[in-house]
Amino acid sequence: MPKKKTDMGKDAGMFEVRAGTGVYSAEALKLAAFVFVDRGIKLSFKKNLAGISVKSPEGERILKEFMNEALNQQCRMDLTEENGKSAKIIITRAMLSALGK
Amino acid sequence: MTNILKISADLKKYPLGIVRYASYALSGNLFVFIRKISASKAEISFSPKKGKMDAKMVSADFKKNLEDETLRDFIWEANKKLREFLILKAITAQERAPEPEKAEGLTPEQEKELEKLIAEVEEEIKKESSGAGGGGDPLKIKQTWEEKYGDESEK
Amino acid sequence: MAMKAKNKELKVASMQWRKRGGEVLVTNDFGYHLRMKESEFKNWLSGRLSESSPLYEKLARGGFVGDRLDFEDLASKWRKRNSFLFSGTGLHIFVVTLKCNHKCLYCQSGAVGEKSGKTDMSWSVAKKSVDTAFQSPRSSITIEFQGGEPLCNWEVLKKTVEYSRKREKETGKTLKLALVSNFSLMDEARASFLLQNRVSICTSLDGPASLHNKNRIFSGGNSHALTLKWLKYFSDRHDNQDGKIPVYKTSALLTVSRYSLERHKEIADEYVKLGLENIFLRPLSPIGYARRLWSEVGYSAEEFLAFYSRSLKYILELNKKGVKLREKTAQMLCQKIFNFEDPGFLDLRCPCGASVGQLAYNYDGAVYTCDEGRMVGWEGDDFFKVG
Repeated sequence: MPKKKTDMGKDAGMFEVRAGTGVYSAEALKLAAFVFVDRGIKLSFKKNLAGISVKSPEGERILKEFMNEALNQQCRMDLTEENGKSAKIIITRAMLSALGK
Repeated sequence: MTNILKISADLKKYPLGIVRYASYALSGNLFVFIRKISASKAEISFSPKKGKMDAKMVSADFKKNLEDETLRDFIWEANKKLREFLILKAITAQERAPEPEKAEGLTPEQEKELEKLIAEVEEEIKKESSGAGGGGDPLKIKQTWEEKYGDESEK
Repeated sequence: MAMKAKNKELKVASMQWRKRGGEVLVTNDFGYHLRMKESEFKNWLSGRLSESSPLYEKLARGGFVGDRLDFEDLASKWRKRNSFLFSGTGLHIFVVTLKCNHKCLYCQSGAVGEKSGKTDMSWSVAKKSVDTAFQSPRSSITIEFQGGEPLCNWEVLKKTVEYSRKREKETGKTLKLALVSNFSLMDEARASFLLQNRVSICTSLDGPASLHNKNRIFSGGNSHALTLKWLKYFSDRHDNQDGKIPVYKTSALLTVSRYSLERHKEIADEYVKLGLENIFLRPLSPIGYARRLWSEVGYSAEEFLAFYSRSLKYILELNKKGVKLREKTAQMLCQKIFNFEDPGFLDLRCPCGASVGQLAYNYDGAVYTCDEGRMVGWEGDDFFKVG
């Protein structure tokens, strides 16, 4: 869960959380970061760990919301993969119809 | 009422995908964080978005969700190919042409021609339905109950 | 997890389900749905539901029993629900100008001031857009004029209507024309022209005057009064049409802002008072000005759903008293659920209608996947630009 890094120095007021990329893939985290683009989220990756940090008085809450969003994105990605074949068939049909075929 | 609840999930019983879906189902009112502790264990932390949370209820809901998602996964896996087949069939099916009515007074040549046409249409349909399923009847869809499980009267 | 029924494997076909209040709703891709008690659901899945029971028969007819599937029926239902996949782009939105004489609090369209230059669609762009729209393989298309306020670019709008009707005759396609306008620049001559060219008309009506004018700021006068004046005009023309040229019933759209949330009854009553039979309770999207003013005009999804629920209950009460008022979202969902049909509303399609169902032609000739895509483009992100 999010932790306050320190109350001192240049990182004062910085909150961070570490998440395993086995649970939340890098892509899911990046998609979530895009959704939170104007909330000051910073992402870093090292081996199998992602570091997510934000400098804000509401940092803890922002990071919790961010992790929920990362879970949302991961579930969407999983569903996309599971339904990929059907989705491709459907979209191909839609595109062909748009071309008049 | 508590503020943080941590629950362990056995990843051998409930794969990570199922843990994610089960956790996601509670993410409307709760903050969720999943941590993989080992190859066979995950820890899921729940905390309320507003106020305090009823840990007992959240724990019970989460366990129910795990069972539900396991069932969903089973049904989905068992029906995946069939679902894809049906969607493909729906997309590729042509409207079946009405069979021409046998008019009175057809000459023998006309009757022969008609029978040939009907046979051609039936052959096309046969080819189409065996082709869409990826060759033959791999899902044993066309087998009757008796062919699959044997005639009840034999038991 | 094995599901066994006696010594046979139970075949449950592909389905989704949701439990609520002791009941379970099961649905599938083909549009069938069933409600049953949780105990019945458990019995079925554990193989204890008798195959001769009426519930089992309903499940089988709905395509939920794996070895009782009627492939022809399921494929046909799926095709019907997804019929839009088999035809090309039908809706072509022409943003003929971004100029507008209103300053609606929730404006998503990126409207600019009335005196702003360079945001009018030129005649050459409009003509090319019409020609592009007619390239759609569909036998019937719709061109919808939007803005800003489309009447701010009247000359090009007029020429485009005339040219579109000409192309309709040349190509043999069926063309529907539609205009979305705030009516503030409407006059008799323009109204007659639009009616003679069979343009169906839609306006915005957010509710009673105090609410409408609060949302839709018009420095040139009373927006609500002008809307009502022209709604009445077109309604009278519809009711007294002579059958020579069809006059379509004018419709109104509502945008729900934060100020609307506690006024659901007044809003519905306003629509009823004006003889409008359809009301479309549309939520606000955080695009454009709405995004900038979100803390003032916006709300959470939960707040909107609570408003929608109150509104729909009130509308149903009115219906029971014999008042004809249909909430459009509910109507469309019923069409999908009970008739296995797609109502043609692209926002509720899967896949969504981006490009394959609609295109938006911006004033400068840029083409976007949809009108919302164009609005996102206006904010600086051309992700949805397709031409």
